Amino acid sequence: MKKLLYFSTLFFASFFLLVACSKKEDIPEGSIDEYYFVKTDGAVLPVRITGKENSFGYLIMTHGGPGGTAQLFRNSIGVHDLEKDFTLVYWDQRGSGFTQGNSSLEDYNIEQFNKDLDAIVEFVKQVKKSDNIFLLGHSWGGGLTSYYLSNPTDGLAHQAKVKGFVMDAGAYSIVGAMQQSVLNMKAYAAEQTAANKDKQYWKGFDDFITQNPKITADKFIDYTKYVNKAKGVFFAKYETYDGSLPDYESDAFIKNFTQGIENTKIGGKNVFDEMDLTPWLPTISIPTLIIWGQNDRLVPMTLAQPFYNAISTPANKKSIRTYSNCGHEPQTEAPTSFTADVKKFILDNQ
Amino acid sequence: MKKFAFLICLITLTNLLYAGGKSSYRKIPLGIHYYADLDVGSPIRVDPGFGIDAGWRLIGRESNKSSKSVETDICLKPGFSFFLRKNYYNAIVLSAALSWRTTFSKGFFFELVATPGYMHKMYNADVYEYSNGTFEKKRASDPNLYLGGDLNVGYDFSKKKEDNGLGIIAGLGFFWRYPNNTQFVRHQYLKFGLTYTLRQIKS
Repeated sequence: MKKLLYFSTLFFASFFLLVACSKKEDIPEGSIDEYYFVKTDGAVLPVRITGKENSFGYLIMTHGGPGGTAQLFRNSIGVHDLEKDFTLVYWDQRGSGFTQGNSSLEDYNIEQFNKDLDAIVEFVKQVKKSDNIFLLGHSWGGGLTSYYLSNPTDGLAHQAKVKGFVMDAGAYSIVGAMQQSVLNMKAYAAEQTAANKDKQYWKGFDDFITQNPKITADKFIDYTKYVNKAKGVFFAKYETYDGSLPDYESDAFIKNFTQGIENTKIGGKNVFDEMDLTPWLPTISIPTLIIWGQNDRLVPMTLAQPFYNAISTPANKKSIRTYSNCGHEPQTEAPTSFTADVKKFILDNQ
Repeated sequence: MKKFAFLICLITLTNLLYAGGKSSYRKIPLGIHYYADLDVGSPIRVDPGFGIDAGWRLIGRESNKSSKSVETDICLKPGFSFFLRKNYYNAIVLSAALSWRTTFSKGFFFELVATPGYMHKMYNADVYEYSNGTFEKKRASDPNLYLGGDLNVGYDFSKKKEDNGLGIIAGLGFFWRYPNNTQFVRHQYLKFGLTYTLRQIKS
């Protein structure tokens, strides 16, 4: 028995030694890396705040998906480099990414996500005590942020809380994006077939589109595999930043992603069937930077100009920046241009 | 899977019915374990866990009246463990495992364990609750159902020297926690540790 006590003590002590000595990410001097959870309407949303300490402003990062995570944004060099000058706020939508708890599927809707984004904005205002807030939304996150700023109920009130919006290949119209994407992909498949490249594969794509002329939520992941093959998500080779992440559960992350895509609704219908915010866009009048990859086949660049035209922001306060050799991830594939453009936008509108 | 479960049950029952007479010992198995909770994302990450348990022998059989016999024990093992996941959650687990262990005369044993339990998951960063337009710093946690099981092998030193109850154990297992956004979340882990068996000859 004495032996057990001896070895148990040794065991216990070595366990804590092991935990205490685990590797931590080096935080540069003058920078912060803080973790929080924001509990709102029954969900607990993970929030990570990193970047320059005491910077003049906060950039709130809203991720894509639905179902993705903002913290993987940090692996994009374009985003990570923004941390040198600004404070970035990475948050995950309810039921998405690294969120825990037990959100009801009934709450997977853009109306609720809109309230959640407002809770994050308020968190920065009240807890971090900053009024210099910018929003960045990528892909689906661009759609959610557009909803936040343009919806007839509280869009105007929300615009009063922020200084600017970076629309990063944003899906403000998922219906329109999928229509444009399918046209784009059909043309690509025809080119490949004519050039005798992977004819059998692209015949498979034609069959897929014949059976699914409209891309619905349950077909989206299958469809994305074809877009990937056409280099429509990532066009060029890219490097990433190997940043730290919380010790999340991969199984939960994958299930959250699938569940997010299949269940996120607008007006009671799946966002893939219904979401088109074009009629509301004229409500947006704050400074806006629109960023798009020229080779994006998932949310094609053809959506950029209509967005620019639709919003009411004065011409000197809105701009479009597009990048060549770049697919759906400008922050990853064109990091230098991305960082420079976002930095200039924020400094011009502080 | 059903065939495998049936086979295990058959072997256990056969073992218990025909292995020998009733045990001449009272046994209290104690255990202390490390868990290496393996997250098989890219890259593979290991999160630590730690557990203790103490057993109550429900059924025990020996092939003869010596501690050097082949022994089969079915034990109920109440246990306590905790798992740490940096910047995500810490969790404590209260469980009542059912274990089946066969120890051979040379001291080697194998063990199957089924572990239902309760997991209390605590967020390990500041939690701010947003209500009526203001924030309040609060503690937050989630109750979870815990269902697990592991397969272990080990060595019991008491087969060589009766007054030495120590043993070593290692194994692998799975557990699921529920709910996380309405879903089960699967974990896989390696387990290694020490056991100690208190033996008392029945009068």
